[in-house]
Amino acid sequence: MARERSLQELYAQDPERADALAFGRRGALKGTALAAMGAALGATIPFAARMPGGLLPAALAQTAGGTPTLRMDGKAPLILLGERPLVAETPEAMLDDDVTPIDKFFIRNNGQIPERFAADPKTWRVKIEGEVNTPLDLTLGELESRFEVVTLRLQMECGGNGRAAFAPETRGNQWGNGAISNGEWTGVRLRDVIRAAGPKDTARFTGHFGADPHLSGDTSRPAISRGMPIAKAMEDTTLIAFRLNGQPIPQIHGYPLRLITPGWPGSLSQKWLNRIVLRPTPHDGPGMGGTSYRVPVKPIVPGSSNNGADFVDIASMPVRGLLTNIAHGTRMPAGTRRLDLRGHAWAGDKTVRAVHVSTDFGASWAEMRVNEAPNRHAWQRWQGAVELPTDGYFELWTRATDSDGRMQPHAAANWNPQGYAANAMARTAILVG
Amino acid sequence: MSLSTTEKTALGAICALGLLVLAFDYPAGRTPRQAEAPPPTPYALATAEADARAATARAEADRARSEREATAKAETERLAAVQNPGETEDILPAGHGREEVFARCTACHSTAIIRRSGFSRDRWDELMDWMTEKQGMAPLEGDIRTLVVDYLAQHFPPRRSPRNANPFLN
Repeated sequence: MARERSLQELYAQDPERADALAFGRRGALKGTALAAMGAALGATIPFAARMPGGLLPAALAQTAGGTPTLRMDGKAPLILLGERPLVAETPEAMLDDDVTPIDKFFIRNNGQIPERFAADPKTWRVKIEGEVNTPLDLTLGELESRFEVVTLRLQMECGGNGRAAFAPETRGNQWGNGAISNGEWTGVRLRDVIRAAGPKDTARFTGHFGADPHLSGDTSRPAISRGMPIAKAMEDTTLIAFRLNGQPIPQIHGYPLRLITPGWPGSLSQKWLNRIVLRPTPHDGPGMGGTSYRVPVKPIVPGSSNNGADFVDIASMPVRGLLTNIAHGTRMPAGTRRLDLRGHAWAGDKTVRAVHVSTDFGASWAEMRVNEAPNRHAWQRWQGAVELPTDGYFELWTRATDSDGRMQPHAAANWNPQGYAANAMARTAILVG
Repeated sequence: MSLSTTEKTALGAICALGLLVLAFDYPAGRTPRQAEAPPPTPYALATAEADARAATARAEADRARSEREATAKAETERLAAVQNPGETEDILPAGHGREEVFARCTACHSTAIIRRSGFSRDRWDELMDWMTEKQGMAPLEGDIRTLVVDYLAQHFPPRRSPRNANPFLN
């Protein structure tokens, strides 16, 4: 017992040293350390010999300690990452629905949440201006009556989803894999509205503005204001949305009007949308340039300093899959040998070609069945089953492959100072018996 | 029988209009005895009904507006409460510089992001510039910067993420 405690304490107090002790010089798990780890887990680790060097079991990888929970009417008990700005992540096992219910939507704010628009929502105004022949100043009611209204299931994912997998730790909210949603959004196509404004040839980029005040409360500066190349704005799945899952968009998610730019960083889905400017050059608002929503072209040393001058803006988000019917930390009855699994996978602008699950740290993989998306930019359902050889501690590693054949890596790749676009495969620890 | 505000308003409007119609319809010089009130003209009836409908619609709009305003106010207050965790300085580990760190940082954000971060002194130091350049923080220089950065580097050094705590070791 003393050994168990000391190992746990060591991980809590000095994970680097614990890591060094647990793994041999060549990265193999040493006999005594392995035994200690098994004892600490209260289980044997059947596939220990195949554990990659330097990679801790998911169950031991991080320090123990409660994660605060969001307590808020109308929201499920999400993982609270911060109160101001209010940021909360959806646990992976809460993402099992095909259409993400509103209470399970993750929350990301860059500034303060604005006061709720108290007038008739149909009187909310949005301007389309800049490089257009006919600047528009439309009410939500006019948007709805003048343009075709469409309803689509669309993924929206934070650009920092998966950030917690970066080593060393980067700046920003330490998201696991749960900064993703797949809501049913109703709105008008941004491209129809841009066309109505008569874009000039010089309209090559967008810039988006919303009503949320800057965190400091300074109303003269936007909290966040990002933009995209015109090609993405003209996609038929990029919406100016006013309903989510058939209801008015909740205040916290951008009531009454927001952009939905599926497959690209969620910061392009401007909440409380009140203005879109068409520009000849990339937008320069807060959240653009430097290391913001940008990743290295030439990989940099993890943990090093960089001003991001040579980085590029993230466009499509990378491929990712989630296991959603078994929660991390589930204990199963002794003798459990077969697990029916299901989840979702998505790949930004691309589609998901395959999902595989490994129970042995990646030594072997079982292929799952992957459904087609009901519409472009919706996530895809996958399901299948795996067999377990014995009781004990297992990790279910979920790995999706996109339509170009690119797979999720074991570890977060292309380290960058603000920790974007990490898509290390998801790891779900279970204990049988 | 209890009447809603809307219904009362509407009834009031009908009665008032009825009286008005009667008053105008009274030819001068007629004696009251002869004043078996003639039935209101179709025009008067239609006008009264239209006015009553308008009054109902106005009351309805008023009610919808005050409902929206009440909802908006409640929602704004609710979200303000969620965004204010009521933190005090002792949420941060005791140490030289804690008071200054708490005061400066919580001017913009809660301490959650600090408590879940772990960086080297250099990275903390850079973060001060980044917050000034990108987030509009007042520049932090000199002794106060040293104090703040030293405190953060000492108490929040690089470490593994606290996420995904071992589910079987609690």
